[in-house]
This record gives sequence, structure tokens and C-alpha cells, in this order.
Amino acid sequence: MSVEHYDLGQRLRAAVTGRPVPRSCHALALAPVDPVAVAVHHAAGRVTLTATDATTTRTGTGRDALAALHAVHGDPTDTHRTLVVADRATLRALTALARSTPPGGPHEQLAEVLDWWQDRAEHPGSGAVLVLTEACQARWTLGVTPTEEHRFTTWRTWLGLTATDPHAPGTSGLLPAAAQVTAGTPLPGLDTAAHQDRDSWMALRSRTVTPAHTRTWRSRDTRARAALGLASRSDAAELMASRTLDDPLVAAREAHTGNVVHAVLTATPEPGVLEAHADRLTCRLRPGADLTVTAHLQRALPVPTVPTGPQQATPADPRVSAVLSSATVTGDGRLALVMAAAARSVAALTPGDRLTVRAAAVSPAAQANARRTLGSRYRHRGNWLAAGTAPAPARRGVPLDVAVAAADT
Amino acid sequence: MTTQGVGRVPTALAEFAEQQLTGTGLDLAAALTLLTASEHPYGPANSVTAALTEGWHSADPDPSTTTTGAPADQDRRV
Repeated sequence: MSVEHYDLGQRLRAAVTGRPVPRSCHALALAPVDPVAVAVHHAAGRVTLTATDATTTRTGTGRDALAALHAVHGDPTDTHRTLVVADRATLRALTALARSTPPGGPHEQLAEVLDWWQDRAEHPGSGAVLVLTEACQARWTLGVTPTEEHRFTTWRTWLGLTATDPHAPGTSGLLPAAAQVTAGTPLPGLDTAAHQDRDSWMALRSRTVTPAHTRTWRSRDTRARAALGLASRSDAAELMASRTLDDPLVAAREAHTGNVVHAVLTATPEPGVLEAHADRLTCRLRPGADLTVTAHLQRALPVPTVPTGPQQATPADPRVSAVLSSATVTGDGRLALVMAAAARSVAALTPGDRLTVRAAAVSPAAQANARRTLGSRYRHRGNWLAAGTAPAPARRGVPLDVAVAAADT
Repeated sequence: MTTQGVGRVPTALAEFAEQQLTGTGLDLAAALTLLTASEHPYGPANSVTAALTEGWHSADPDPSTTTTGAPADQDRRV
């Protein structure tokens, strides 16, 4: 794999120019909604929390820590606010603070919101929580080692956010960094995550305002709820990974991992069959895999003598579904792909067209259907996994021919 | 910040780069010479140099692929 050298090329460029190098053309995170930036520090066994929304800043220590956040965030309304934190450690500290509050105490609602933020933070693509070090690493590469990129102070310096707010030293630079990392055109499809955030928030609100509802955020998950929660997180990660491949810069990098293959169509021996030569040998796609193939008709070029770069799809470029029939290395050391697609969908393609080949794009509708099916199975009475009771073993009669066959072997 | 070799590469990154280049036949100075001299983003056919140069030139603005402009317009190292 040569992706490490691709990343190194970006790091060296950033170091020499003194500027971050973009890893994506699109904003990979949703713009924050009425954001609240929070920093948590531990000193001498006490927790200090600083929260700010640019107009109000509060700091609290020990038992007053959540009071500071409550003063900035206020009581939950029908619209969620985006939590902006530097890293996952801050998120874990906030979750610990929420769990340390007594049930029914003055910050019970805020603790529930903190639990909701923690839940949404485990859904890649969600705009409810913005973990800046992760979002920045997805968007840019710096001229430093990967380890140094895990520190928000590094990003603050490189993004030119060194001015310290004397009233909020812990949260300095968080909100401006959030604005920078979410600036630009959002990655297509991210609005689905925004809808899921809203639905999840409204579900939380309905639980909060319904007195008859006995489940609280402190209740232990049922097996069905835990299973669906796991499926929801997995689906979100899978969907986000699939969508980021639509970004041409991400695709350029992924060509070095083999998740994206740039190729040139060499022949269409029969309707619906595409034969192509890949630019390089790196390919993670296996025969039988479902593919999404983007054909760059408007940039039809002769077969290049050297590997060519990323291709930006235009609306006119056909995007077709296909199945990889074979991937073989030819005698002259090239990777030859044979793909099968619906004949009508690829009728306009001609030899020489550039192709971008990747695993089939994930469908959020199909994921939602799968989760609904999973949920109904868990609610089914006969599901002993969900009920938590092992089925009683029962013996059944064995057909004579099976018994004879078993005796013969 | 201490620098080493060609350009303005911090010491920690220089050490990291040397590790990454081990076994490739390139050292950091040679890699930087190659990269700063390369004009065509996707020229070299060797997998290591191709990957290095593609990463290096990924920062170059391309009207067909750059839609945000955020890094070039807003981000400055101080």
C-alpha cells in the first residue's frame, strides 16, 4: 500500500508551504446548530468546566461544573444545539459528569442531553457533536507528525487561531475552528444525518415531556434496544465511509488503498460488459462485488502512458451499477477488470472513457429498512435471543433414510 | 521550531518521514528535491514516487475539483 507515502507527500507540502493541505474538497461535517463549546480540565482532583456560545461564557468547578454548562445551554428546546469539543477525552469527561449527577437533581435534563450527545457522537456524520481534532484531520493534513495532529493546540496554531480569550481560556479557538472546518460545500448526502439528528432529538424530547414514560436515560438498554443501537452506529459508519468516496480528493487518496480504482475503458465486447485497464495494481475490489462505476465521458482521453489523477464527476457523467466479474493481472503487468452492468445503462460508453470504480454506494433507505426488519424480529415473541431465555432442547424423529445414511458414513 | 534538510520540515516530521521512506531508496532530502522539482502531478510511474507526488500536488488548486477554497482563503500558519 502506498497511501502512507501519499499522506507523507501531503505532510511535506504542508511543512514547506506552512499551510494545511486539504484532504477533501467538501466539508465533511455539518455546520453546527447554535453551537456550545465546552472544555473540561482536571486539576487537584477537581473538575473545571468552561462553556461558551460566543455571547455567554461560564466556568464552574466541582459540583458547579454542570451549572456553568446549564447557564450557557439553557433548558432543552425543540431544536438541539451542537456540542463543540476539542477531542473525545472531553466527551468522556462530560459523560462522567452526567453520570455523577443524582437522579432527579437540578441538572437531570442537562445530564440527559449530555447522554444524547454521547450517543450521537458515536454516529459518524452526525452534526449534533463536533469533535474538532477528528473533523480537522478529515479535512486537512498538517506539516507535523500524525501524533501531533491529535492535539487541538496544534490545529489552533495552524488555523491561525492563537488569540486567547481571557474569559474562556479553555474554550479559546473552539468555535472559530468549528466554523472553519465546516465551511464550504457540505458533502452530498449529509442532510440525511441532520434528519436523523432531528428525529433522535424529538424522540428524546417526547420521552422527557411524557410523564407516563418510565424509561429514562439511566435505564439499562433492553436487548432489542442495544442491538438496534449497535446497528444504527454501524450503519452510520458504513454510510459515511461510502459517501466520503464521492469527494474527489478523498477518492484520490483512496486510490492508493485500493478502495477506489481509476481505469480506462478498453473494450465493450458485448452489451453490458465492460473491460477496463486500471491505472495501478492496487485494488481491494473482489469478483462478485457490487460496484458503482462513474464514467467521465466529457473527459474522454486516449489511454495514458502514465497513471492519471483524480476525476471529478459532473452531473452529465453517468453513474451506473455493475458487478465485478473478474480482476486479473495481464501478462504486461496491468490490472484488467471485467464488469457486468445493465446494457442500457452503459450504452453511451466507448473505449477510452475514464472510469472511477468503487464499491456500490450505500443506500440509507436500504439501511433503514434493514433496521426496521431487525427491530421487528427482536420484538417477535418467538425470538429467544431477545427474550433472554434459551430454548428447551427437543428431540424429533429422524427420517429412516437419514438414519441409514448416517450409519453408512 | 528546528528544521532539517531541504525546506522547512520540523525535526519530528523529518524523523517520521525518514522512517516512512526506509527501504524506498529515498531519503528526506532526495524526496524533497524530487517533490519541489516535480511539475506534473502524476508523472512518475514508480509507486512510491507516484504516491508522494500525488499527495504533494493534491494541494494544488484545480478549478474542476476545488469547491470550497476554505484552506487557501482562510488558513494561515502564524
